[in-house]
Amino acid sequence: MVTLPSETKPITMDTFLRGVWEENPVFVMLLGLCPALAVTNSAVNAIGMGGATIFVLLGSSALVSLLRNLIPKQVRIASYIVIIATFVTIVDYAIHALSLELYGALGAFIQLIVVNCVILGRAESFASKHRITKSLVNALGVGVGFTFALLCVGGVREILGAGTLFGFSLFGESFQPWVVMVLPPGGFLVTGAWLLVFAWLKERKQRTVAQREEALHAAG
Amino acid sequence: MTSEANLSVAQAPIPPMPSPVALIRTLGLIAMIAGLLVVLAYQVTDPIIKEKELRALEEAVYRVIPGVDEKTATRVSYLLSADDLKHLDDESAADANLFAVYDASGKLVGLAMQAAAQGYSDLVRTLFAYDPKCQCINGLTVLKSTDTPGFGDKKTVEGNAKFMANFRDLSVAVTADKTKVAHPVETVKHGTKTEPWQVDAMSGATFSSRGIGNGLRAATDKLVPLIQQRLSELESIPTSEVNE
Amino acid sequence: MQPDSLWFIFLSAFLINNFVLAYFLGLCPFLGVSGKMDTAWNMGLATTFVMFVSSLCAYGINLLLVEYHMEFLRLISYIAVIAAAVQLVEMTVKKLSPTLFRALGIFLPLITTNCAILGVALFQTTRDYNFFQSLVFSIGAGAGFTLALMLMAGLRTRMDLADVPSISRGAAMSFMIAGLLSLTFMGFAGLGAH
Repeated sequence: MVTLPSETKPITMDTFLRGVWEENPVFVMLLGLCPALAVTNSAVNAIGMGGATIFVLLGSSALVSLLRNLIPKQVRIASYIVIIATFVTIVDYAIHALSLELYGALGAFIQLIVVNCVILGRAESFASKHRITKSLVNALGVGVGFTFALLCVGGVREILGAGTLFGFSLFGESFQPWVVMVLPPGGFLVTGAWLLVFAWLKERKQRTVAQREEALHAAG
Repeated sequence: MTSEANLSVAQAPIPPMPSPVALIRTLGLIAMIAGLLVVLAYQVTDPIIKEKELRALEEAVYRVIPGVDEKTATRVSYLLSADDLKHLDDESAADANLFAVYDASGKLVGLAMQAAAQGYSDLVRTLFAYDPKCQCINGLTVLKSTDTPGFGDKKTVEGNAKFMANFRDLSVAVTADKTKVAHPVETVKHGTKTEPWQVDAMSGATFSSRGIGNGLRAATDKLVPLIQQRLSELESIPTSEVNE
Repeated sequence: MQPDSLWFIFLSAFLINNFVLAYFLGLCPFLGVSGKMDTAWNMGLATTFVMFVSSLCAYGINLLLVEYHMEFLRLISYIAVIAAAVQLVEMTVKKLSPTLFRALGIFLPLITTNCAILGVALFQTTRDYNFFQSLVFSIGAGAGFTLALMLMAGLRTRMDLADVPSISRGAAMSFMIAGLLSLTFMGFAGLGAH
């Protein structure tokens, strides 16, 4: 069997970091939006959902990577979905057993992790083509990036909408919470605001790169 | 992508369809692993989940019925229907629709039932205490509410002293023949309560108030007449539950 | 109106608790396909049909699972049923209207990962809806999804020609618009209450 070049490349920090920042699943790739908006009405829920997604990402990436040479191309999507659904079911039971409160807060969205395009995307584009350790690192990176994005949205929504962060009151009694932030419209608006921030950062970076190239051109 | 690249992609060889045996073998293997993992997880977590939910419900029952001494009290679960009062053990306690708390001497301290009705965004679930002697609701706690924080959520509702005062002696007396509640629970606009069976709504949270009131009405209409009919059976603790 | 009357269930799924604007389900197609009005309409129609079929099958499968105490297989079987329903719709659309098939492109198979469809199946199970309630629920959800998609498409077609800051073009603006739409839909709360 020919070893493909990508399989022999060592695991670098890049394998991990790419999923966190450059290819952030929510803010850059616009994947996994449903949970990103639905359960981010508080920072704790955001972490809970992020953690559950990381578990499913790691489990499914590991299993897909282990079985990657056995799964025929024709049935790969169906197989990936079954594997993902298995781990989602497991994490659903686990959360229910660990914390009734978190389970009540996340509700049906735990089971909806199975249609989170981030996970299927990882399985299809990475785990099925790389060995297990590399797949796990990449999956962890994407999972951390996803949780980071969720935390950004959840944190802002909780601070503005309830005056607390992780349950700790920040502003004292007289704070009038901006309640709409913890309601559905708030989810859209806060995510839109973060997307604006990221778009602005990207444009700024492109401008500095263009300026640098111009300077080089002028000098050369 | 140039047209040349497009062409080469279109002409890339499609891997041959593997034999049916290979397909079945792979899918079978995956199904087996998946099934094994799920069943394992279920076996491990199910008892923990049932235990936790029972504890949570029991804690809510002790909290909502006034005058309960948790150290000496015993909670008993019942399934009450038109034909039968069935005593349930902990295994099937999830099916219960009536909870009774007895003190150390086996005397009935109070009863508790669940109620649920549409509030603002979704169902509002409550647990309420019923005192068969005064024929009134004398306690309420919100089990689950997804209504607007600051208006209809659990913390706000239970922190609203004026609203909670409704549930200290909400009358649900039955008619003389014990077939129905004489005056079903009614939710009225904030500040317009005149009768003991009315619930004065929270100002600015009419839907959540109605959700709670309607849930109470549905539950009491159905169960209170049956409770009054079978009161003698409920008043003493079933022998199987007596602690030695 | 009784809270579990068929009319209320439909209204709730269609307007009051709109699947996209209140429950955040079905966002990927919502942002991806709402560029033009007719694509949005077709996508909405296809999704509604898949929701209807999946809801039926999910109801049936759930009865079987409960009967044999195999509830832990619920998620896997629901997903399988949805994938099959999407295949069915794909084949039907391809045969009935090849132009429509090409217009929808990649988005048709993507309906499988549309959380709204799994959402319909899961919600109807947790809320213990009977057969007719489930059907009405799925139609209401599909109608609400289509409505949100159409509204978004109409707004975006206008905004495409407007003079907006470059950093807001694309996803950021879509989200802002969606947020305002969601705010508007909050006004439907209490519709049909007694």
